[in-house]
Amino acid sequence: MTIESEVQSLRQVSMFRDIDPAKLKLLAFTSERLSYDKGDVLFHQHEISDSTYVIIEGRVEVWLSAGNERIKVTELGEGAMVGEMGVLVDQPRSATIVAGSHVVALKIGREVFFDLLRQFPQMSLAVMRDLARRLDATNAKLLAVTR
Amino acid sequence: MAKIDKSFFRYVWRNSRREQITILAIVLASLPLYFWSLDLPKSIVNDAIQGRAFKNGSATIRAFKLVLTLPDVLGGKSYELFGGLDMERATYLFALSMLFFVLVLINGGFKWIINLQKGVMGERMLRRLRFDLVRQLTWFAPEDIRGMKPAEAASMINNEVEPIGVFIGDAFVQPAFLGTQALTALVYILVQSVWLGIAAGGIVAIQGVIIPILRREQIRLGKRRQIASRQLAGRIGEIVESSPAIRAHATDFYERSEIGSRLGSLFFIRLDLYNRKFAVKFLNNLLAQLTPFFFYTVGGYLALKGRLDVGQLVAVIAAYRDLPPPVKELIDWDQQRNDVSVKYEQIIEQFDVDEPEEGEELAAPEEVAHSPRITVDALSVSDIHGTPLVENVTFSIDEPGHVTLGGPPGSGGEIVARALAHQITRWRGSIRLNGQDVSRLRSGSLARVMAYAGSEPVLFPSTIRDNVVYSLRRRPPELPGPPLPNEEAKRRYEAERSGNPLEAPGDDWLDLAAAGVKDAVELDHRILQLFTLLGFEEDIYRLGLLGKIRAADDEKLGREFVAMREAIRKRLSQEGKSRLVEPFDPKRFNSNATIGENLLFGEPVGEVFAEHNLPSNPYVSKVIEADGLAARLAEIGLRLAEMMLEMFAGVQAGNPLYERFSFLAAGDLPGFQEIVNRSRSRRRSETTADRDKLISLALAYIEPRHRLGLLDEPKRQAIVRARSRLREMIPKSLAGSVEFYEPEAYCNAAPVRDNLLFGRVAYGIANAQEQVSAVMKSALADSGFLNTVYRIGLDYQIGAHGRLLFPRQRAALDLARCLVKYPVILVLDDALRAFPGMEAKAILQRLAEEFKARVLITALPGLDDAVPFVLKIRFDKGRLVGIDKGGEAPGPTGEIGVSAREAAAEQRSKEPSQEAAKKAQPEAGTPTSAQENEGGDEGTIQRQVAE
Repeated sequence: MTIESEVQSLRQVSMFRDIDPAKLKLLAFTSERLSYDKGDVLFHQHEISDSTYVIIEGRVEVWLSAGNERIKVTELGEGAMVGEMGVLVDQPRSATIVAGSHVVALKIGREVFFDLLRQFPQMSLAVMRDLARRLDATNAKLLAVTR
Repeated sequence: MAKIDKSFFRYVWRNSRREQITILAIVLASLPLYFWSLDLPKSIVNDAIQGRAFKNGSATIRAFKLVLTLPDVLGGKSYELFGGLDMERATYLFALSMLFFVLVLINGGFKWIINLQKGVMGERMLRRLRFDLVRQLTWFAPEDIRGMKPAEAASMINNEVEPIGVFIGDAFVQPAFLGTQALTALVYILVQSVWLGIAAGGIVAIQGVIIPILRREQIRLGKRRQIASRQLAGRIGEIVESSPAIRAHATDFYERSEIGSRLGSLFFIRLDLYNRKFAVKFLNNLLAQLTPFFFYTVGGYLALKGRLDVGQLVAVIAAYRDLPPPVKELIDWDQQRNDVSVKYEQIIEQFDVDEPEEGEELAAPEEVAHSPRITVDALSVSDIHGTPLVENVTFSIDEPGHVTLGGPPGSGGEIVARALAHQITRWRGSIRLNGQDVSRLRSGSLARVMAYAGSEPVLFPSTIRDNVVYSLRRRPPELPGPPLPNEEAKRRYEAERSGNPLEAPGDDWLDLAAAGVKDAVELDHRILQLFTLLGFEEDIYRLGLLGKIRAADDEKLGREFVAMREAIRKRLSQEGKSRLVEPFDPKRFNSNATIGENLLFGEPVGEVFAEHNLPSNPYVSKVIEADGLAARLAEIGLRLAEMMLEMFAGVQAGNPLYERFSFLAAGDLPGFQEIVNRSRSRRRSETTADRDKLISLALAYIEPRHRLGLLDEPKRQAIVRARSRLREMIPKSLAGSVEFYEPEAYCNAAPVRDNLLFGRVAYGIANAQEQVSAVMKSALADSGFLNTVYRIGLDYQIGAHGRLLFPRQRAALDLARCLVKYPVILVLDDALRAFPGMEAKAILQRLAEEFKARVLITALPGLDDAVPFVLKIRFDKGRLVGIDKGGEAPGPTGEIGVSAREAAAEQRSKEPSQEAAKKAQPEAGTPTSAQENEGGDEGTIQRQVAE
């Protein structure tokens, strides 16, 4: 597994689609490539948000816990980014992410992430777009629940 | 022991009377022989050479007859003690000359003994003076010592005192010795010839009057020089301390020019000094040469006239030769006396502090612990400018438990905390501990029952353990009685003569009983317990793993650690975690280690084989040149450089990305661009320097970490082959610079962790480090070595001011130091600032639990209501505004007032005292606060309602 193949994977992520390959290479190089077994936890709810993850291989489950209850909110697959919200607003993790299969993910440190956002407006836009889409989806769900 | 005398001579006399008198006695004893040695030349010339003794034409005389004649009062009888010897003229001459020679030897011997005694006495006094100065330094009140610059104090005690010490030997002896010698010579000359005596005396008098006058200016300049150079030392100290600020504001040019101008003024002072000095020297020499001129003319004339015989003239000239040196030295002495007394007074002035009064001894800690009662009555504290910090504070603590000095940051609680712990000593009102006024206590007795931790821990450049047990280092060890080994007896004798303590520093100082332990091992356990309480034990474990032991010192431990390698590996495989660690194998490439590590396959000892030095090391170059490995490594380096250039193009210099991820610094990029260009254009002809640079890039490469796909199997094998060549052919001179990895041997140069693991943790597997750490820890625990690792962690050197630790580790260390001595009262003054909010709260909770039966007084901004308290004393703007009793539960939310903590930090960053004081003033004396204040301790109790 080399950086070249990671760059290929990153290009599949909508957020990074428009970014120059050399910069994607930099992103891959400055982040950590980690493999998880099924059931391993990427991060826990309420932990400090120190990094974001791009799922390169496999799928992850998003779990929320309140009191003693745990609910699985959704599953995310290849190309998804998790953990960026907490990093952006500097808040603890809002959910627990568990590997739903064998997972390979790129762990992007907080500073690197911000640095990339600052340097590449395309990426900021992409992140914004992604967040907006998610907000939209949440709104739709909320509407469905309240109706 | 009293403080140092203001007058130099009094100080010297008081402390070295006995020695001074002994030496003076030796001086006096030497004088008769000296007089004789002056007189002897006369006899030699007149009696032997000119033959006056043989006046009746006889060939022999009876020489050296000794007759004791009693005075008339005692009967006037004569006793012949020695009949004398018959001698011819030549024999007599030789006998007299021999006698002269013997006298010279004896006089020389006297001089030798006197000088030696003087030197020894001077050294003893110097030792005493330095010790006294340091002792006085420890007497300073905390408020006063802050004004002293450490570098200046050090320069005074260390350097400036030195010439004083040298002079001490001369202080009394020199004038006595030289003065009597000069006087003897002068008297001798006078006896021989009044005229010559007057001439000699006159010139000596001129010398003695004019030269000191000329030298006065020299002394003044010397003093200026001393002050200027001390300030220079202080400034240099400041530059060292403020180097971050200098760097941040690029004021180095300014600082340099400032130092330059100081050095300049020093130079000009010196220049003036030289001008004077050599003028005085010229005059001195002239006067010295003038006298013989008088002697030859006047003395020769008198001899011609027959009023002086030749023997006398020769003896007078010889005696005069002895006259100017003592006089000159006496003048020197006088100058030094002036100089040294001024210097001495100057230094003593800086250390002018009265010995703390011998106060009362505090009740035994057990007694205090039984029912601690603290009463604060009308306490007021002002800062140095007289602005009040707290005013008229009255309260009492009557039961054990947690007492909070609360209120907004800077409202006065912290000042009261400091006063309670005697960190502030100037206050009005009174603070009593079980009825005893704490300001009247004997120094040190408060420290036995109380501990204080502030926001800025004071740490020493030593091990973690040493820093923790510092608070126990207060019990002077018992001195073993006689018989003592020679060395020890000598050491003690000298210490006593210089007024130094007889006890030597060492482990015996530890008050183990106060810590509740029996020996060093138990003490370590206790320290670890405390670190657990403070959330620091994991750090100690990690530091222990990073520590190094010398297996040579503890062979068994080394072997056992080596045996642990197998146990850890087994456990890893049992838990299905083998893939987390790639073990070292002499015959295999370790892909999770750098290429450099793979090549050396050992731990460098010193700099010779450090990774950045490998490419330029001639031996290593030779080894990697052998089968073309050098070219392959350079190729990897080239590819790396190309990739870095591609990836980091457009990333600004100074971006943290470089520091953390790049193989090269931003500043190196252009250089590597050139290297890459050169290599591309004419591939084969790259220079050695280029190649070394490329190879050093390659040596840091780790495939699974950097994932650039630069290593293939042939390259790996080539590296492993080079590894074994490097090891086999290593010359003897280099063998000591590397310790190769051996599966069956402990590697002293490597940290404990590497020795236990004997491999590298794999990259790219989530939480691999943590998992391996956990496995190692449980394996260590099972085999009973966990504590050993902890104890190695306690040996960790923390650097100057503990700079090698994180702030929260420093704070934990300081707290552990406070706790280890089992204080009855613990005062925390913003001591948890370095901990994050949640952790601070947790630590405070555990401390409050620990101090249930003792007293814990806290002034912790933002943590007022974090944990239950028995008493909460609320402050606002320097006044006590209320006392709450027995809060059973934390405040309404139990949340930590983060904003308050931040405000407190901000408060501290401003000038703390003044700021608080200014705020306090306008509000002072408002009816409510005054009323509550007077209503005092019990009057306005508010119950906190638990939610």
